[in-house]
Amino acid sequence: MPRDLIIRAMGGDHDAFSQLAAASIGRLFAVARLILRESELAEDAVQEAFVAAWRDLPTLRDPDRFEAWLHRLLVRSCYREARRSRRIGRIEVQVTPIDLGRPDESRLIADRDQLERGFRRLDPEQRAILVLHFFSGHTLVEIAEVLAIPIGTVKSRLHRAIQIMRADLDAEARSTAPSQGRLA
Amino acid sequence: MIHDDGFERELSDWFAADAPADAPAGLLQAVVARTSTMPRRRAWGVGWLRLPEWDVPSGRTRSTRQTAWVVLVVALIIILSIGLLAVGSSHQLLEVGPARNGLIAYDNAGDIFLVDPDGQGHLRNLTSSSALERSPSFSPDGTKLAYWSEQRNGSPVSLWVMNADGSAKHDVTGSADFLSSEDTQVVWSPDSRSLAFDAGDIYSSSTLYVVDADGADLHKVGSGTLSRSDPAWSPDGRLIAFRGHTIGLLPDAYPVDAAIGVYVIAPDGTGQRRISTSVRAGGAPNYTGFGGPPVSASPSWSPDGQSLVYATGAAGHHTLAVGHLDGSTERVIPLPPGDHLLPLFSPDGSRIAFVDPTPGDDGAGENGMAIPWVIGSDGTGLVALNGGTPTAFTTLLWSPDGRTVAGYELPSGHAVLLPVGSASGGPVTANGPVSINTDSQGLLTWQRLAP
Repeated sequence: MPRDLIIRAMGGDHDAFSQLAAASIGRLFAVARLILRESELAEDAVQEAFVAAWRDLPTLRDPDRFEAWLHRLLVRSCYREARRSRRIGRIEVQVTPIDLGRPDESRLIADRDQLERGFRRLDPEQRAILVLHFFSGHTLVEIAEVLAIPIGTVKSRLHRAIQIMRADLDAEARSTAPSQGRLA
Repeated sequence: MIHDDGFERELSDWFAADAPADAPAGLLQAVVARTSTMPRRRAWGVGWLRLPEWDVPSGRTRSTRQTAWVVLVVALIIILSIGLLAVGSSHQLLEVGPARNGLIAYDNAGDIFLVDPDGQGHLRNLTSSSALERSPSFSPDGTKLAYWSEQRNGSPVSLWVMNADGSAKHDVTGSADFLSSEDTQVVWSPDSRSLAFDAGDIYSSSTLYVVDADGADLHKVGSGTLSRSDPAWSPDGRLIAFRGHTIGLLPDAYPVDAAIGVYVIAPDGTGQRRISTSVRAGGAPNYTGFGGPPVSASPSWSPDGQSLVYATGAAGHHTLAVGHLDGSTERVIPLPPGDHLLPLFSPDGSRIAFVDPTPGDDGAGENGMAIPWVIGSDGTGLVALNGGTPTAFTTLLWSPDGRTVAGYELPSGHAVLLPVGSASGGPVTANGPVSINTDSQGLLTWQRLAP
């Protein structure tokens, strides 16, 4: 993010803030959509994050922290949307039976359905860490800064989230392999 | 099949394929339109945090005659209380000190539950409505629970109080939105009539608030450029201790923020003074939200109200210190090298519980686990609880009778109650820890009952 834009926005320049929003909104929406799994919720989360950012920017002392701070506002908005909706983790994904001609494509879709189901079983906090790490490419130290939690907590949550998804996927593989035969 | 050794790559690929390429049309315009007309917080302001346009009263002024009446009434109450204590039975519940253990309350999935600490059940949901309730806190007299509630989709997060049986729920803070506080427990005044809490963000600032349990007199405590968080009410109710740092400076900033420390202030915002003298006193940045072990907590008062114990020092190397109201020299508790956090005086003040986070696999940082310890307040008798087995604590509290330390164990999802021996500081009992399946990563609170 251009530092001068951030400083101008901190000083009340709404055009500068709009440019910052334009530069980052696509990425932030993608993060929110991945965490929340619903576009409508993600739109609300992104809007609320930017509203909070504009309102609170004068209290940010270090412009170099802007990006981490903005991500933190977004993740908090996602938590809030998830709590409000009460739909996180409770939506059963309807999986269309797979009957594709090409085996590779069939397996790819089946694997992603499994990932979707496993991911939805995670709580929003675990999802956020997975998305920030495996999609946004944040290091664990950066995630600790974004979420304002100790690095040890980031590590343990990441480990736990992966553990849960793997356990779910393994259990599903064991239960469906004989009947559907789509898992290797 | 998704193989274990390729799982992380599969996840990355799935995210990349599933992520939308662009934000929906109109979202940027909506953001720009909404922010173009809205007011902003002022830099270095303290009265922010999504309060509505009206400001909360900053304290009431009383005439001299009113003050005289108040003094007279308070004096009469004190005299009557002393008389009652003198002739009263041994079964009276005192505001401070050891008490009989009651029920444990915790939150899970947006509701508040009560459970018997024997781990044998007696589970009861106190809040089965569609509202989201979080972070319960028992009053010292054991009759009420304070908690954060979001009543319906989009409504403000406000502070509520109910009786311990779930009856008489009422909104305490009304339309003010305290979203940032919902993962923290409010603290009750010793007389169970008022509540203190913080609201804010370590990235900018936290503000202390005090409000009567009936909703009257919500006000900010303190002003100026100091961020105030993690309040703890003194046993006599006259002071609130808190962790402070300069607003806007990150707690981990370098050079060290000279203002970081443990302070006390009167509930009306007067008489603020610093108690700690060591560098970075107060512990690491507060974290109690979203599950996982906290790394700091409120300073903890000794039952006589003359001292406070708190973590102090650099990240990863905290030690424990005791500061004194009379200004005498801060005392560092001698401990082996480690990272000592969350110190808490036992109800009778004879011991201090704390945790020492264990390092991660790479030897750096923490792995979210910690070994719970207890040491005598005089610095002797260090004992590792739970056989020294690391436990993930999202909370640390003493049972009202001072015989147990409660924590929260991951990944089992159980609250664990660790016996610490007799109140006189005896050895760890032969009884194993009690495990309660709370299926929650929330905060625990323990009801005090008359002996």
